[in-house]
Amino acid sequence: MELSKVSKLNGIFLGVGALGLLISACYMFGLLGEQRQKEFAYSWLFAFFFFFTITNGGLFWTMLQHISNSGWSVAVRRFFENLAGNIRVMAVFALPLIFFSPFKNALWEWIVAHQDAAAAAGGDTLKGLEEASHTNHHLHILVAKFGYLNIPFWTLRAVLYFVFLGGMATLLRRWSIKQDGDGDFKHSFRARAFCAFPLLFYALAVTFSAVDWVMSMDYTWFSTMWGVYIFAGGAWSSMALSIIALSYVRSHGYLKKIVSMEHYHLMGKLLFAFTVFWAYIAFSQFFLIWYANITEETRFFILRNTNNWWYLSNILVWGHFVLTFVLLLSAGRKKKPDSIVWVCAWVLIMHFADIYWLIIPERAPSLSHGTVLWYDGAWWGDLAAFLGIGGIVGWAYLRRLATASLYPCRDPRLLESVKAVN
Amino acid sequence: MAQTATVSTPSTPRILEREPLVLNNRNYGWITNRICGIVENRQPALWWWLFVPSVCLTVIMASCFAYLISTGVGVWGQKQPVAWAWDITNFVFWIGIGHAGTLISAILFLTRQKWRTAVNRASEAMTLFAVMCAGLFPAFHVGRVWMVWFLAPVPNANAIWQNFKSPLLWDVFAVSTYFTVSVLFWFLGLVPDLATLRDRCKPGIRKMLYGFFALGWRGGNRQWNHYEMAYLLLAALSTPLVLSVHSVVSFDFATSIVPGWHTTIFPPYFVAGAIFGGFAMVLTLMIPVRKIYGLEDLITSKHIDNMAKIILLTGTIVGYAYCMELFMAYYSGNPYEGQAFLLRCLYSPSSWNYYAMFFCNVIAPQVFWSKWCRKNLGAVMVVCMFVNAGMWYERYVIIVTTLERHFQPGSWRTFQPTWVDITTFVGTFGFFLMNFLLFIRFLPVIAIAEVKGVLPESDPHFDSHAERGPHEIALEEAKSGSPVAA
Amino acid sequence: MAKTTLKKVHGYLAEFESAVDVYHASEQIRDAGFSRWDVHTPYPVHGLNEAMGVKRSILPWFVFFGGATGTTTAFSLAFITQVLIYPTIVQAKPTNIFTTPAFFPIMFELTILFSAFTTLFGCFALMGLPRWNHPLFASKQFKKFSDDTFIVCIEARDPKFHQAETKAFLEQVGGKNIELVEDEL
Repeated sequence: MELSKVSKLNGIFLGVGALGLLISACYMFGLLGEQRQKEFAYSWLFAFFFFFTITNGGLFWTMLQHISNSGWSVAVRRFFENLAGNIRVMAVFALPLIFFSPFKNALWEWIVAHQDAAAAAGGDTLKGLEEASHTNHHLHILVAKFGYLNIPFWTLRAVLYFVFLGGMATLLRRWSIKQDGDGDFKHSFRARAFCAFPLLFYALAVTFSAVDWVMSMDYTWFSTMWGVYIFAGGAWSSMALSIIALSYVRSHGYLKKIVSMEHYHLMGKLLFAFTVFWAYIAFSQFFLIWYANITEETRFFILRNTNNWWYLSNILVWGHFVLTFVLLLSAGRKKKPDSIVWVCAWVLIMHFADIYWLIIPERAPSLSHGTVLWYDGAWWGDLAAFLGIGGIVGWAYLRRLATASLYPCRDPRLLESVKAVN
Repeated sequence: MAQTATVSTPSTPRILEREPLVLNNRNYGWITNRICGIVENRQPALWWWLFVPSVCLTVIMASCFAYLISTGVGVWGQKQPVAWAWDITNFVFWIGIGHAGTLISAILFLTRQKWRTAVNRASEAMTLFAVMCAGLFPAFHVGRVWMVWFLAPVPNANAIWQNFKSPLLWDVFAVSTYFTVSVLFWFLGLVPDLATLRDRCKPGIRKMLYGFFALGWRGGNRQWNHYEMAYLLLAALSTPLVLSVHSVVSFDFATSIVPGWHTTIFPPYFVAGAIFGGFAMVLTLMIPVRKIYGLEDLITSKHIDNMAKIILLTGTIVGYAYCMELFMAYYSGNPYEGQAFLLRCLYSPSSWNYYAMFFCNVIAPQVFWSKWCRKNLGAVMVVCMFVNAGMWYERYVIIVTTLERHFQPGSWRTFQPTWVDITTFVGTFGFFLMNFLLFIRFLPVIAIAEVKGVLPESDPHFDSHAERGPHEIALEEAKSGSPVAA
Repeated sequence: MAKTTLKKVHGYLAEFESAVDVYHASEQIRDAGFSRWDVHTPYPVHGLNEAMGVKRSILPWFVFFGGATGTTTAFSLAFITQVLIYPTIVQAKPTNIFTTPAFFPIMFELTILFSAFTTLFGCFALMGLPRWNHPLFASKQFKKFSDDTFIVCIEARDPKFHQAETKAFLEQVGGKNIELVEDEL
């Protein structure tokens, strides 16, 4: 694809991204006050995590296509490869979360507790925590999970996630592009062999990154379903994004002969499947906690059902699942690019709502020590961070699309894919 | 993973051929004859050697239940606090076995995995028989089995309705729906094949019965059109159904507040485990069937390879769930959770069950990373046996070892099964095998119409004069041992 | 069986050897304007619907309403008995509309159950089965359809049917062993 054809959209992405980052920088470095800076930490985590899950979804689909040796998807695989390639950009955006103290302290109460404990006990965090827990009983729990939740290990894990995810994304895309040149089967075989075992590490990376960054915002809460829930949302929204990207590229006259309505139908079906899968996971998680009604678990849902958050929870039930489910039932709609694109846009909006619902409700109770639920005006920061990260990620994605062929043009399964009928 | 097509002379087209699903270019007539022949010919002696003992075991099982009814549930080993023991373990075990059948018939259909056609009929039959075995246990566990109608959604003698908020009632709905829908799905698939049997039979009682159940099938495309839509819809309905059934079974445990039972990952973890165990059972049954009845061209080593890979995948998912449970027991910082898992893995006298489970379910399938093991039938059978046992251990670990060490240490005790527990469970295997042997005897063990549909010449755009692809060339080379001209 | 039965023509049968042949023949029969005809095949031939001009099955619509009935039935059953006529407090769950999540498993199961029954019986109704007695079963060669032969049947009810011309037409599109099938009156 020629970059010049999409330069308008690409310019918009870059402009919006730059502006968003500029405003974000003002928030980040405290130019708007310390309170706003703390609030903005949540905005940044929200925007980062939204795009992080989508990027991971792209890697998941790439790996799945290799490992299942699937034929139909070859024509659209490059979109997922390119989406997964964003992981390096995401690594840059993760830096403030991992290394910028004001953000860390605002987001994760346990980090503050650890720092206080270390200061009190002259550097021995665990000893400090044990001593402090005699007066503050909440800290017992931090002593109990110290082996996992401590700052050096937490930082190391963050690095490992990006090394692994980035390495996978880079290698798979590199081999695929190499095959465009030499048409050698060995790249296909190598990619398939290479995807099998690392799929386990992928599962672990997605699970524990979600535990480290989102679940541990409330260090008392836990759910074994967490990783599956985050994974389901990411795979779902990345499929939607790829359908949109595919339609955008086709609207510029590319891939007309390679990608048929059958591919739209198949991708739409996967989108549908993940709509149901997400609902299944989300419902099971809610249901088991609601039904058993144990204090240490219900806090998560009680907070998200209080005051106006209740409406957002309901939007997820009716919008994330029910409406999307009904819209995607029709085979005709899945086959029509014009209509499926709007459904996909809706999917992305709902994924936005989902991640917002996961992260932002923690903001005010956390920063105000439980006295308020909502900070007026903090959402400006959410918007700035979202546009900043989103603009740059979109810009990088479009540029990456243009650097190589839009489809694996010499993949041995390409013909099978072009002829795919379902 | 067995694309041997690495022949890279520039003149060959750059296409990676798929392995054929039916070997040796068998045609429609051969397929019909071979599969119908199993039903029409005399059964091999081995069939009788298996059938008679399995009938005996079924009789033993029935006697055990009769003894239980006449004496009371006390003949089983459960005493407080272990109120659920082998019976519920067996129930979950058998119901899990069934899930692979629905996975093969529904989920693999939706994902267009054509290799499913060779094994779907037998696995669906297996599903039905497994669910029948499963249903026996809760029915007799209620004690006064003649009161089992209390489970049905009708008000009882005091005009009191069932508690619709109870996981046990959900179970009744889920399992009975699952059985019913599986029967419908199975029957729909059987109709065209029954017509084939009908058309081959000489007039007589058999022809009448096959004809009756074939409903007068004429195979017109105007019929196939609705038939295929119905098949698709039933597949689409069965897919969430199969997920829901084992999820509901997991709700029996996970909605409680018992540490070790209450954990949110239970629903998908149970489903993955069920598919895992079910596939092992499918292979356990199909590898001998394939050998005894000479079906190697239809159930190829590629099929077995694929199923072994699914076992590896689901086994690893189950391993993920085990590790996630352990991690969260630690991470939660909840002393009850932590103790429950320490007891389960380390301190309890039953903790060896945990290691048996972990070894059978997580470690043993890892040998399937090796292609040699996936192609070696002996190795596959051994791993499948481990998995069959491991999935029973898993349910035993979850149910019994948790209850043995519940909240009040004063009431802790170690469960001992009685002879009735053991013989009843062994008897269900006889019941299961008896049903399966009867199925082989009277119904087509492979879906004839569906297998015909996956032959290359079944595509109306098939070009019989097409050039040989690199895959065929490579195969010929492998057979003859010398290079073949393209 | 009576010796002097009156018979009427049911239609012509023609055999084809492969899916490719019958596919091309179907296209020609469709283009010739026949409407009451069918292709009897041992397995569902994909793409034959287009070649024959057969519309997509309307079964999904039945199933949608069947499923909706199931959901409603389950919800009514649970809600009326547990909330309206005999409010039951178990597991500290409320006795109002907010207890609905506890009914979801049963609502789901009955949705599937009703949908599945609608699918199967709707499918049989649309296919016109069961019908154990059919003129085609009188034909000797027809039974080969369930083994390896593709059989086209053009019925006499078709307005374009002509005893001689239709036979010639079937020969022309490649049909073999053309047989006139009769139906007892």
